[in-house]
Amino acid sequence: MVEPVLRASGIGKRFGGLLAVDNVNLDLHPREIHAVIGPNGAGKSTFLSTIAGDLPPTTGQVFFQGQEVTHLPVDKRTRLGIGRTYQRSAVIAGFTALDMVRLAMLHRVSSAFGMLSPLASNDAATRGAYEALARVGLSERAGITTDFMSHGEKRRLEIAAVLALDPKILLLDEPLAGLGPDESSAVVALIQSLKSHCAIMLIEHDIDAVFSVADRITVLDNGKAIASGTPDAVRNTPAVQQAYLGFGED
Amino acid sequence: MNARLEKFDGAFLLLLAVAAAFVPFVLSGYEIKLATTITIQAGLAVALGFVVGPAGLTSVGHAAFYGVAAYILAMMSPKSGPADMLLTAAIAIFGAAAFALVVGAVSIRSRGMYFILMTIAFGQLGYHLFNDTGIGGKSDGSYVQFRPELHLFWTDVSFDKAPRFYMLVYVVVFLVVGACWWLRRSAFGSVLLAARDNEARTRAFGFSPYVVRLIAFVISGGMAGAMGYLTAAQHGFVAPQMLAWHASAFALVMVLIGGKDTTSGPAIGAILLLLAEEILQRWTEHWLVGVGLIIVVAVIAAPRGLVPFVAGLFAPKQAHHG
Repeated sequence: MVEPVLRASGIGKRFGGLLAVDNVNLDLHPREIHAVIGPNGAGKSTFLSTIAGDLPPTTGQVFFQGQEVTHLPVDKRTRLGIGRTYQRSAVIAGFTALDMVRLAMLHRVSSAFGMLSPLASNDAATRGAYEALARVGLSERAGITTDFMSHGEKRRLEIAAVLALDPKILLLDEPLAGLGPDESSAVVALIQSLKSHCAIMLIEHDIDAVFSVADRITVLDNGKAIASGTPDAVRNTPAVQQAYLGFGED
Repeated sequence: MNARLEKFDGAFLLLLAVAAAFVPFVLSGYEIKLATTITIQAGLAVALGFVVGPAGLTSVGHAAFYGVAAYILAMMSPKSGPADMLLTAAIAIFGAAAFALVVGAVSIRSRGMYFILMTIAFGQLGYHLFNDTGIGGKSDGSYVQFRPELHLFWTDVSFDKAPRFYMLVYVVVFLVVGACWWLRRSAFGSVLLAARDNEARTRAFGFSPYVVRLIAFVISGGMAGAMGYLTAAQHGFVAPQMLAWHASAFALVMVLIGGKDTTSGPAIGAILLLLAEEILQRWTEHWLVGVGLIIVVAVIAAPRGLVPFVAGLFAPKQAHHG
């Protein structure tokens, strides 16, 4: 088997008396979509945040391409090639869609000196930003200020911005939340198409979507990984069925 | 910043630059000196506005950087003749920027109220350093006996005459304001704005909000230092009050009255407040009450500042997009 591009081992995260994530292991291989599912409060987002760097884990280690990144700040991880989206759509107010994606391009295409010229005059950033916007179907909305975008547009814009980072792995925190059926299937198709470029870790509540795109699934419940494997294997695990029957899907 | 506000900002800056260029030709004597003081304070306000606006750092300690540079000139000035301007200015600005680096490195980790408190504390530390210890003549302050001279290759340029000193101030403030205007529009400025609005997202775009804010803070602190240097050169005198938090707060009021999200706003705030002060002072001994009233009215009428307020008057009536 190929080296995993990401390896999280023994990740634990404690908030005071609450053990939100308890000794979770996860490997992410190149060209793989690894979904993490589980009931609300299972610790999925917290787990993702320890990998992205937003939250330092209490225990365990994160390796990215063989390098330990457990205590590296988010901006350094981004520069290494870890891209993430947030559960609540995280666009930047007051920016146009184009400017926000240009901003995401900057660290790749701009020298320190280039930081002194306006975003609009950075041709490489502009080109890359238009490409990324086209991929999520937002080309025609490039000049719109994010404040005036619909929820679905904001979600797609955030994905465009993360694509502009050209990440080696992509951490998606509930990318389908709040999307209508049409938008949802467009995003699912997009996720599917991204697989050839980067490995994806996906947190998602939409179980049908997860089982259709994921190569592997890890199920969290009360912070613990109760199952991990191919969709078929996971579907037939009694503990999974119980966890979902017990708490419901949403 | 939306496109309309950006246009107004540019227009105001142009207007100010042209108007200020006429000062030495149409004014004389005391008026030129007053215009010099106002221009320097406008430069300080614009430099402060750059961190209060895009960087979202409400500094109430900028007078310390201003004052430290002033003291550096006083301490470097010989008793027997004029100091070398390029050398003393370089050291004064570097000193102010270095102080800003220390203050920023420690303070920028704190946010909101706590950042404000940190900058006040550091400013007061600077104030007491000069007020209470033997450095720089204690509470009596210290003199700059001769106005520094500019040594060029072939000649020494003296700035003893008020109109010529005004022209020097004009050029320096023009550069400072121009740099702030440019930086706000640059990609660096965009990163600052992004970090102000959404810190997590900006970090996930590969930028450290702490680092970009610190860079902005140091640049602004160095600019404030340049203004302090000019003030010391103008009056030939420095005092601990130059560093005190009252001075920082007054500069902050200029920024907020004019509009922190524009470059021209803080300059206009400085001009209005200082002119009001000058006029009220002639008219009544209770002029501070008048200044207070002006601030209250301005903040109520134009909470985002006068420049955005004026730009807003020209906005189309319907909800605007983009």
